[in-house]
Amino acid sequence: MERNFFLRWPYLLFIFSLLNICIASASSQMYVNKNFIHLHKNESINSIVLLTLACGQKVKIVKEKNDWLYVTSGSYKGYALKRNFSDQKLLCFSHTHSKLYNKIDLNMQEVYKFGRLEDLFIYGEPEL
Amino acid sequence: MILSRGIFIFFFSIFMSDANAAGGIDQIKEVLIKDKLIKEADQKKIEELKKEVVRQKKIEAANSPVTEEEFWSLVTHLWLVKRESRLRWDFEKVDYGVNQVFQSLLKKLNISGSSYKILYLNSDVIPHVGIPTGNEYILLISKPFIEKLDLSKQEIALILFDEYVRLKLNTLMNKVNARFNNLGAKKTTQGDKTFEPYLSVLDQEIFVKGFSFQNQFNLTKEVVTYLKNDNSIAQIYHGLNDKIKNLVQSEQQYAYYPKIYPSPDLKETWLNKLLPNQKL
Repeated sequence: MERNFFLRWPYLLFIFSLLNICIASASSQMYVNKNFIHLHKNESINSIVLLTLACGQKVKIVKEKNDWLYVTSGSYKGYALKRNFSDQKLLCFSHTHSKLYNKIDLNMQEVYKFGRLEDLFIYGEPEL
Repeated sequence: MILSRGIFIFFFSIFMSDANAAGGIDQIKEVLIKDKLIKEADQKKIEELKKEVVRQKKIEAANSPVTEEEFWSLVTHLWLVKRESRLRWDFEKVDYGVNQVFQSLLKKLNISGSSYKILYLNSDVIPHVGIPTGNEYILLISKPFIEKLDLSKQEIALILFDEYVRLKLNTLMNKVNARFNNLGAKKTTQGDKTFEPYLSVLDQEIFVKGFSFQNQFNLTKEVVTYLKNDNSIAQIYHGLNDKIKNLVQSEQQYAYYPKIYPSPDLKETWLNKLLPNQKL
């Protein structure tokens, strides 16, 4: 019996790992890694902006499609560019140096522009 | 998900049937419970440790002075936001497919370095400029300027390349820092300055003062070191400068260009000397 039991451990491990993968993929969360980003109604940077998210804000990933993530933030659900999120919560400047950051005194339009900027940037890096 | 459920049921049924036959189900249950408890406890410990690390990092970051990189990353983005009405970058995104061409150009010329972000402007206030932002570069280029010159992808990529090399030479930041006597971020973190003076300095340097003859010569010299081994790219570079020179001479609208980037005429002379074999 003892021998049979140990022989079956690989099954168990396999099952647990499968379960973990399923759970992780269903409820993964990510954090905004830019100053501000936009949450859009559709997978287009020109679609309606539902919400502007600030650096460090947590979102739940519902699904992933090409360069976009379908996420929920509070009661909002929408699309945001994948490149604007990290698995780990970053140390955002707005949090670490809040006193200095608050001097900027951004109005709503400027907050929107910050988000728009992140939509419009074309990212690249040398491929050496 | 369905597939994993299926695999789970399959293995579990095999396991359960064998286990029942062997009569070891209670023992297995016990092990599973123990295992679950240990895992939960470990998970809790890991979560607590993670939280503690983040907390410590936050405290460290809050107590440490703002680095030059952090500071200028914020200032340059802020400058773009605050000067949107002049730069007019908020328009429907254009994509000429330049990024791929620019990337292959960097690869071909063996360039390594910072990552970059390209942003198109819908105004002529500045035809092209690179601004450093922390550990990456922002490359601005005017859409009307591209259209006026009817530039090809390779020519646009070469303009971006010029700006990329200029940023590697740190020309703009040296000028900006000189204006602040290298006090930079230090002054601001002490709370005796707002951001506005920094934005004004960027305005002055980018829109008004531009670059000196020496700056331009140094840039040309540096660019030539990359281009001299590639005849075809060097020829396109020559041709691009000719196009700009002709535009500046013929269009009053671009009369400011040689003040910001002195000057296409001189650059032609430098190029003829530095890249003589590649002359068109």
